[in-house]
Amino acid sequence: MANQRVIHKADLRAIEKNLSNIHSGIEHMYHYVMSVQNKVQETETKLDQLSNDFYTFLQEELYAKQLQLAETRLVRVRQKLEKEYGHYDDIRRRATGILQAIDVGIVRDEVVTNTTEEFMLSAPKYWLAPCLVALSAWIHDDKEIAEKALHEAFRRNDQKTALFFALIMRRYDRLQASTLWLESYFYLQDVHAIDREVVVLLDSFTNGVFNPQARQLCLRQVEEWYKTVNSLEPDAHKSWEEPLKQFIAPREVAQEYPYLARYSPTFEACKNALEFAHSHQLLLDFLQTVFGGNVQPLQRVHDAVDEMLAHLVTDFDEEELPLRQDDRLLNLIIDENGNKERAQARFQQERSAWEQKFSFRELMKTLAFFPQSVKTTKATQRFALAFCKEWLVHAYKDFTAHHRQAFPTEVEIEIEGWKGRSRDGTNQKELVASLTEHLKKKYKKQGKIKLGKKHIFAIAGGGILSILGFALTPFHIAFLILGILGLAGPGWYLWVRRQNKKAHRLAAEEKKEEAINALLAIIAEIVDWRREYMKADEKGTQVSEFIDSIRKEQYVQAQFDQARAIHTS
Amino acid sequence: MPRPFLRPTEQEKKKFFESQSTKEQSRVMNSATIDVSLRKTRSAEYVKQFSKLDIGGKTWNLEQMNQALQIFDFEFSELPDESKPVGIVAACDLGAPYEVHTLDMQMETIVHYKKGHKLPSQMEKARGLALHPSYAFVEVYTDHLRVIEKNGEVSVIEDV
Repeated sequence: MANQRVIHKADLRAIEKNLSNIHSGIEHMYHYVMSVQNKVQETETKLDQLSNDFYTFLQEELYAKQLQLAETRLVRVRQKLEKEYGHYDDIRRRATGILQAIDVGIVRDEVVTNTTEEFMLSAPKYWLAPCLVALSAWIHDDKEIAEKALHEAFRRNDQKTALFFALIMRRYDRLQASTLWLESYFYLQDVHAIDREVVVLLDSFTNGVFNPQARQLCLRQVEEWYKTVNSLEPDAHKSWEEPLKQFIAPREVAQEYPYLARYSPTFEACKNALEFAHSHQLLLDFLQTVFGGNVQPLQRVHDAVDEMLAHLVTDFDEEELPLRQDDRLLNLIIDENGNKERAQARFQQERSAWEQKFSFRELMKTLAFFPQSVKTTKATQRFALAFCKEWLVHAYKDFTAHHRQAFPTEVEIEIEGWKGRSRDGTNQKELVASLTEHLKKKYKKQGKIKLGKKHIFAIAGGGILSILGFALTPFHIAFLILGILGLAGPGWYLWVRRQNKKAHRLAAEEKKEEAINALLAIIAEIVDWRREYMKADEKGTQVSEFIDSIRKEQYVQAQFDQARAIHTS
Repeated sequence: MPRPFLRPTEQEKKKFFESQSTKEQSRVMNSATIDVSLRKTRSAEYVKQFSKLDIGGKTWNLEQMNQALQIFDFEFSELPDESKPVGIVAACDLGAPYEVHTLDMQMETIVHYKKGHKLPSQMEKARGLALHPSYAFVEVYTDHLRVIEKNGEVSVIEDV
């Protein structure tokens, strides 16, 4: 009886209470960690926004400064032009002034003679001064002075002189003389290095300033140049691809297709393809604008010639070219609101307009796409496009094929380390299944709890304590409590594992749902993007049809003649 | 009336225009002629023949192949062999899983390729274009591609 032991029912309430406390502690910690994670994400988004805003601010600040600088420099360039070449302006204005004064016969011969002679003294190197002296002498029938002055004008600039007199002769209906001057002018030209003022000649030609015989001569010469270039450079049309790039306008594709932008490594190619496809419409608009509507012709041949003369004497003096280039670039920067890169890209496109000499290929390209840079009329732009239609067709076709080749037939997708690809979204089912499988594996792997020090301590310590407790129980009943207490360690581990698994399962479910939704959204965007591309790309047919409909012989005017010239293509 | 100082004589003018067609012109004549010839719109018969390489099933019999080669030779009769296409890539109408097929002009064989299967080196670059609805097929050359539209018009892609 003395050896009889009384085993009381163990009071485990304290252990249960502690376990419960630990549980609520862990739960609290879990929620705390989740809230911290949300805050981190929120902060990241705000930081991104802030960095974007800051970048935009810097960009705007830079553009504002560049705009201001361009405006200041433009004033300086114009002052320099005025200072260095301002006296030419006076002569230029008077060239047409003299002609108009003679027309109405209200200026005395002596005044005209004196004025032109003064020009000779004030502009020692300028070609126009002896031209005006020769003109004045011709009007007063002074052959000797006229010939001497012409010699000097030819010495200073033979090509401009020839063109100047071709126009003057046309003004006074000396048609045969005008044609002879034109012949002289053409004789001086080289197809690879045509002088800049040829622009005036073509402008006069397309605006019907010349008589039918001179027009035939011009057309024959232009055709001769065209044939020569084609035979020497079979890929002459290649340089016409360059201006077509200007019709590829940047678009906010990332905003239209946000999932594609975020999850597709092919996004850049998709964006480029879409921007290219929309260029068909822009090119079509450009062509319709150029060929649409009527060109308003001037009423009298005198006015037309005077306009060409003013153009010839004002815009084509090589000495002023560097300053005029600066002027144009600064104007482009102002046009682009301070965006220097874009202005320089535009300037680069019309670069050939600012060379001292044109090759025929570059000349026609400039007239067709950048007429504003050489100040030619819409009639000349139409003529250039129509005359070089074959180059335009080839350039457009090659340009289109080149960009279509870069079209991403299949769009790559990358979500949570999973990679897939889709052409038109028809494989949606397979993609969803593949992504689900991937996520299942991924989260299963991640769901396994790694044993930390505290877990090992809890399992090992608790286990040893428990074994010891139960082993020593026969010696004293109090060891039983130790044994039971020891079980709390492994018990705690099992409980933590279960809780973690539960939390992980919930998070994994959430992530899976997000990933699948993202995939479905991308597929929907691929379908829309492809549809938009196809629709925009179809406009290419309209562009081709429009170019086909252009007839080159339609674009030379003849409004000042009774007789009409017949052009053969 | 003033007379032009530099009025050229008829002889001078002739000499001037002749000088523009110089030795350089004759030097590039060959490659220029080839380029012009390859730019020409393809005949309807040629386009029809080579845009439907899968007519009559997956393979051609000897007679079909001979007929196609005859049309091909006639189309490029002006050109030396080294300037002719080395192959043709076109969209395949056999249906899934086939996507494109190639005609190797040297081996005189047609091969149909499934989605995801790579074409031989140079031909792979023509794949996307062959699938484009605007084009009938793509001619593959040693150093470039020529894309043939359904109406026979030609576009060129250099440096491939």
